[in-house]
Amino acid sequence: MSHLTGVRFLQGNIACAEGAIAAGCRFFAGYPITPSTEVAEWLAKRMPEVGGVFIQMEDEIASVSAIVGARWAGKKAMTATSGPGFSLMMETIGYAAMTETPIVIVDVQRGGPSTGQPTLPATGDVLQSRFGSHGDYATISLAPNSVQEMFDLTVEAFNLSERYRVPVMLMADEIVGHMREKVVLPEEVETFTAPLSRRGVKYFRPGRDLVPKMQVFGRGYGVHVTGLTHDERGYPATSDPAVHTRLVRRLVDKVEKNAPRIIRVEEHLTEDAEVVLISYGAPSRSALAAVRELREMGVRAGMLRLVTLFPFPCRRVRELGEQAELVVLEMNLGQMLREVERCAGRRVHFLPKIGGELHTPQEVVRFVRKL
Amino acid sequence: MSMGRIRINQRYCKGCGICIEYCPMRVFEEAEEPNERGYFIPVVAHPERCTLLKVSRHLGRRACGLCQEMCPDFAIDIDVHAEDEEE
Amino acid sequence: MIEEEHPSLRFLRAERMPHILCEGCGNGIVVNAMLEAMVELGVDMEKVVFVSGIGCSSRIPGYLRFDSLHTTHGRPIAFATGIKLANPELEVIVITGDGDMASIGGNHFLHAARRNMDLLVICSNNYNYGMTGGQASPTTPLGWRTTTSPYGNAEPPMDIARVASAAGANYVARWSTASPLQIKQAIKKALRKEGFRLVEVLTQCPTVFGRRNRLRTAVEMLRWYRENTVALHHAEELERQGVDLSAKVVVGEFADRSKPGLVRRLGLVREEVAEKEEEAPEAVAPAEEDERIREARRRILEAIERLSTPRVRRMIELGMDVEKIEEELLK
Repeated sequence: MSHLTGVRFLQGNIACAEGAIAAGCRFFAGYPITPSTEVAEWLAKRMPEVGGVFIQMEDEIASVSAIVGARWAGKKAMTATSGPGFSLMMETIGYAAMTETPIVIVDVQRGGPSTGQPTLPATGDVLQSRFGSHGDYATISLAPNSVQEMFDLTVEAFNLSERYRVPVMLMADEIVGHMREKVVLPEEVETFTAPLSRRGVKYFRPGRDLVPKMQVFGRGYGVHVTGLTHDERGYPATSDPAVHTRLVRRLVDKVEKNAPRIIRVEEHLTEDAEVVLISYGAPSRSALAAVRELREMGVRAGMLRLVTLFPFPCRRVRELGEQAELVVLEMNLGQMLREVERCAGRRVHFLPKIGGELHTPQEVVRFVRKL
Repeated sequence: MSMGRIRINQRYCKGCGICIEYCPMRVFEEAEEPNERGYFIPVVAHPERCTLLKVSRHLGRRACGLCQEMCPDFAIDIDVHAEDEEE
Repeated sequence: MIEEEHPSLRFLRAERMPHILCEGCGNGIVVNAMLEAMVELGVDMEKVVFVSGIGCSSRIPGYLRFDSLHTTHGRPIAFATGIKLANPELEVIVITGDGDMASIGGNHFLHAARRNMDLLVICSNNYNYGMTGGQASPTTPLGWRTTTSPYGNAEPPMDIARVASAAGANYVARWSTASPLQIKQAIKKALRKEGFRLVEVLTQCPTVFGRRNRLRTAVEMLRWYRENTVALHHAEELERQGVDLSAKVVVGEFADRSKPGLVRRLGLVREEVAEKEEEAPEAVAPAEEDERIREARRRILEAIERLSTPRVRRMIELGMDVEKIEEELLK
């Protein structure tokens, strides 16, 4: 038994859950939190149907820890949460990065900080998805903007996590999570699984792509996995600066050096644009509508939509910055803005919106015209 | 006929002295001098009293072995069949 | 020439010895008892997975030749839950300590016991946070001194065994390192059961704890355990006689039940193996070489293991590579 297929009318969270099943996820551990709970509830029913396991853990820390354990026992695993739970998971995300455990974490973002606005959207956790844990490491973040992408990008998230052995965050928001749209669920979905190493070798020695082959418990590997700084055998080597540098550098380079293969953006009418709107998630839909309206008014507007938030498409942003005015739209007070500013090397215009309401195309148009 | 041999692993032993206390036959004794790492490694003073060496061969399985069970550093090797060599 | 070495050594990673634990540390005794129990029961070592948190006892799996997951502080039980549910055929053993499990890990401890999650938890209780220098933990006895209770601990301690028992665990036992045979028997009994099984072992930490409480050596601490622990059935009798046991520690079996573990309740027991094996290719890719080569490699590794004598192990420890070792053996 596998994932739902065909043309359906689904809620975003449900599409995400089916995407996980399609990607081969057979373990889900989660904790209820608005507006992500539907993912857990749907998988509570579906996991046993597809021969997988569902468990509601006692808190978010237990949830993300359990999925790390499940992956080492050989099952692709996912959890889903929102802001407060995401913050709790940070230590374990760092652990997953350090141990190179492929996992997927869905954050259906809501108004923050703290308990904030449980039922309203925001995109305020995006920087945290890259820098939320202590120390240096790299993760991959994706930002769906439709129910279709809730399915497609969840599959992509699993494949990326397996390919690069990193935790991948699906940074959804309450709008994309709760809205209902037509979605096409294909019969065949391309999936990737981290290849296994031979036994008795140095388990954490990387390949040329900087990624070591994987192991699974119970097959005679005798692999020791630790969050301590470790050498290529996997043994703690905490007092060795050279070993630590080599390891941590590789954890970062693994994603940064492979960035060209990971980065995904979507562009509309940027070729001749004099102003480019940069956006992601739900606000990107308003941005696209605004671009079309502006074009009708004679303004050469275009849009760059970030599908991967991290690694960040730095070079493309710099190129666009040389050609046009840049306007960043996000539902926070300036997070991806910082990445855009860093790469553009010039002044960037900013239209934030917090409070739980989406940017309207009209207010975007008004803002751009005033520039 | 070989008596068997008890040896304390000089690299693993940290001189905690539990074996000296726990051996019911008082096989081990405290050293007079520390080794170069500062540990007082117990001396195998009376191996001829060791129950394991005396009884295991006849019993068909290991007897006693309390010192090994209590050694936190896994530093006591007891070979029932070893030739009794000069240290 | 000594060929028969300490019984625990064949399960230890020789290249990492000697271990970092202090002289006289109780953890080594727990390891001896545990390995003996596993050998006597004929446990399939390839299916064993050790999961540990942070602390001195949590360092143990790093020295053992098994699959192991050394996790974050307080969370080994949560990681272990994921491992066991994802592959119920694995024998998942959690190695933790009083601080790791009962303080920061309290929530996971409580719920795993409540769920009767199929895990064997060996909790090394040394009454303090040893690794970080000797701070008070939830099990530090009332009035005893630690670095964060310099005037004497003012907090009544948690009785880990009784909490686990009250929460619904299938098997709970507490012994001290002064009675290694009981530790071994408890672990053997636990390994034969399902559900949540806790073996709490009172272990000595002379270096940072005992020393601050007038028990400066391992021998003195073991003597204290011998003199101050009372077996449960004995304790009940003494209390009936009106003897004051408040300064003693009660040891023994606190729970011995046969309720279904979570794996059974979720319908994940062995009968479902056929379905799971079909799932496996989807979830995890097979090794890329062909079956014959894998089998041959496995036989070679087994042979190396069998032929590996203490002398060879010593050479490995010294960092000699394969050619040099071969050279030495041929001399």
